[in-house]
Amino acid sequence: MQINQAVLKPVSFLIRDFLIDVSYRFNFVLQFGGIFISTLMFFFLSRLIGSGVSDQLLPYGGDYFAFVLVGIAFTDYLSVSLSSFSSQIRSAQMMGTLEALLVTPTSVPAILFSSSLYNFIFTSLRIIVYMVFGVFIFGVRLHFTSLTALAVIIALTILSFIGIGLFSAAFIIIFKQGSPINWVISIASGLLGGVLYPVSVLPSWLQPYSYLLPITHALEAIRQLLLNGAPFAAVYKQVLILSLFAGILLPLGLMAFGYGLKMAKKEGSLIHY
Amino acid sequence: MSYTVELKDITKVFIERSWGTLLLRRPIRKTEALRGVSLSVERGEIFGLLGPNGAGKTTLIKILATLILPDGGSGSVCGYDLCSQSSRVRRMIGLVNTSERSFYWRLTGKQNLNFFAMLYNLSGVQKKKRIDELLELVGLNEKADTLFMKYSDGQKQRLAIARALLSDPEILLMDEPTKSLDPLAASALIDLTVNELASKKGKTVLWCTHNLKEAEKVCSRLAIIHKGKVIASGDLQHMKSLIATESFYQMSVDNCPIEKLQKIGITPLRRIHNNGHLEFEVKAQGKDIPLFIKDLVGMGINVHACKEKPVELDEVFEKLVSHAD
Repeated sequence: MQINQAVLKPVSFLIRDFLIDVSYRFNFVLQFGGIFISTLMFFFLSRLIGSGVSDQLLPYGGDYFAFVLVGIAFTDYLSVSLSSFSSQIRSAQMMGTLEALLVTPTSVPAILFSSSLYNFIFTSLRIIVYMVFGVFIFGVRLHFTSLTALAVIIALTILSFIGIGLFSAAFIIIFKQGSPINWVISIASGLLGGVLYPVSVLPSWLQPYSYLLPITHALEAIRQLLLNGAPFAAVYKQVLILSLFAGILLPLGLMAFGYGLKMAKKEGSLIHY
Repeated sequence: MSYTVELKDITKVFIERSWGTLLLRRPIRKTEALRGVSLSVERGEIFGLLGPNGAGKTTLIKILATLILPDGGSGSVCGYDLCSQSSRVRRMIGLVNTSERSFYWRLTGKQNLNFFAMLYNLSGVQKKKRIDELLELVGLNEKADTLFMKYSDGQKQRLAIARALLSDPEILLMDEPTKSLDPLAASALIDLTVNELASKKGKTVLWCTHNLKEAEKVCSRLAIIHKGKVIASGDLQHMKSLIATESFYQMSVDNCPIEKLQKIGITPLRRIHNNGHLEFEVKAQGKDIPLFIKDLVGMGINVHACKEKPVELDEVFEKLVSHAD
């Protein structure tokens, strides 16, 4: 019965979010149009850069479009992990549904994770659409030789990002305003994480800082797997590093969230916004 | 006596925190919301929590709903401790609040109930049966597949009751349930609560309101909360007896100058002239009334009516609150 509920509750959140999402039909369709347009922009940009491939791109197959496509697609996981929990809480506070959710016997972590599930699934779908556009319309060559490694890397990446996202959620619960953690991590990841250009183009004094970010290791591993068709063994270092990030950030994030929740209940501000 | 809800010396102080208080060490602003609230609610009764806005009623309801932790004191719901057994407490309660925004407006009434039913651990046939029963109970079965945003205020409130009843809770916490309803819808809701939920289903109801007439109509016992303290509690009779030393009488006599009345010791209050009669209220003790009538008749003033004015909850409330101030 308990396992049944553990599966059915997240499913009911998925149904809720899907029904609400498709009720805004135009917006729903527009999201996929947006993916196509941004892919197209990077395709044209890559044509400009294309002929003069820099040495820094050679470790990733030399195709800038493929490089950047993987970068922007998988950075979506970072964005959704960082913002999903806090935005779900914020949105429930603003809509007025948070109190009704919290007064049920379902635990707060279960509500939080189930509320974010749709965002993660939708992000995965968006990434697939990016890849489909890339491969079938723009002729990108992707290798799916080690799907297990890809799944492990994605799982560890999401878990690390979720740890940071939980800090943000704790921040929102206590202070009712945007978390500076999100801002710092997003800016640092965009600048140093190798999303739009390889980390090797950064000045040598800046490069060590990029390795403090989980996204740097995640993108490196994903590009090795998808662009070079590297085997699992080639990314074991990134697997270890991401495991370390996940092992540290996730428990810390959960602790921060638990603390934030207790503070808000004590201060009576849980449902305020 | 079996008490479903027991609260003892509950205190709550709200602290306003900001960047200024954290970084600049500005003084923290504190608001004392509850100051040693103790009360007991019996199984199956409708217990009223009365108080002006800001008295602490909603804070108390939220503590009972485990949404806020008390700072001091102790409390239990159906024997479960509010702080250490909050998950069990939540299985025992259903919260009906005033916010129509606590539903998903782009889902139908039934889709909303389906979603919340899962959170109350209902699934499959049991869930479907329960939802159908509740829609029938609150009279929304024909509106089940209508989007929530198209519901009237009364229908929204009835759906809130249906949601609160999903887990078949022992206790219903109703926080100003008639606040946004027109008199007809409010009356229907009161009827549903008193006759169906309390009488037939045996639910214990905590009815939180600042509407005294409504409380008088709905509640068997009540507590008046003022500035975070319970200033009186008990059944209606007991409440009225608290100010019973001062009786008011309503009199109707022939039109006459006020001075004549004052001459025999009557200080007329709330005077109105009606069809050649002077109607007024007078504060007096029961033994004085025959003397007043005798004196009036002696002065040639006919007395058309004289009756003791029933004590209303408004008066009890006003009296107790002003005394507490």
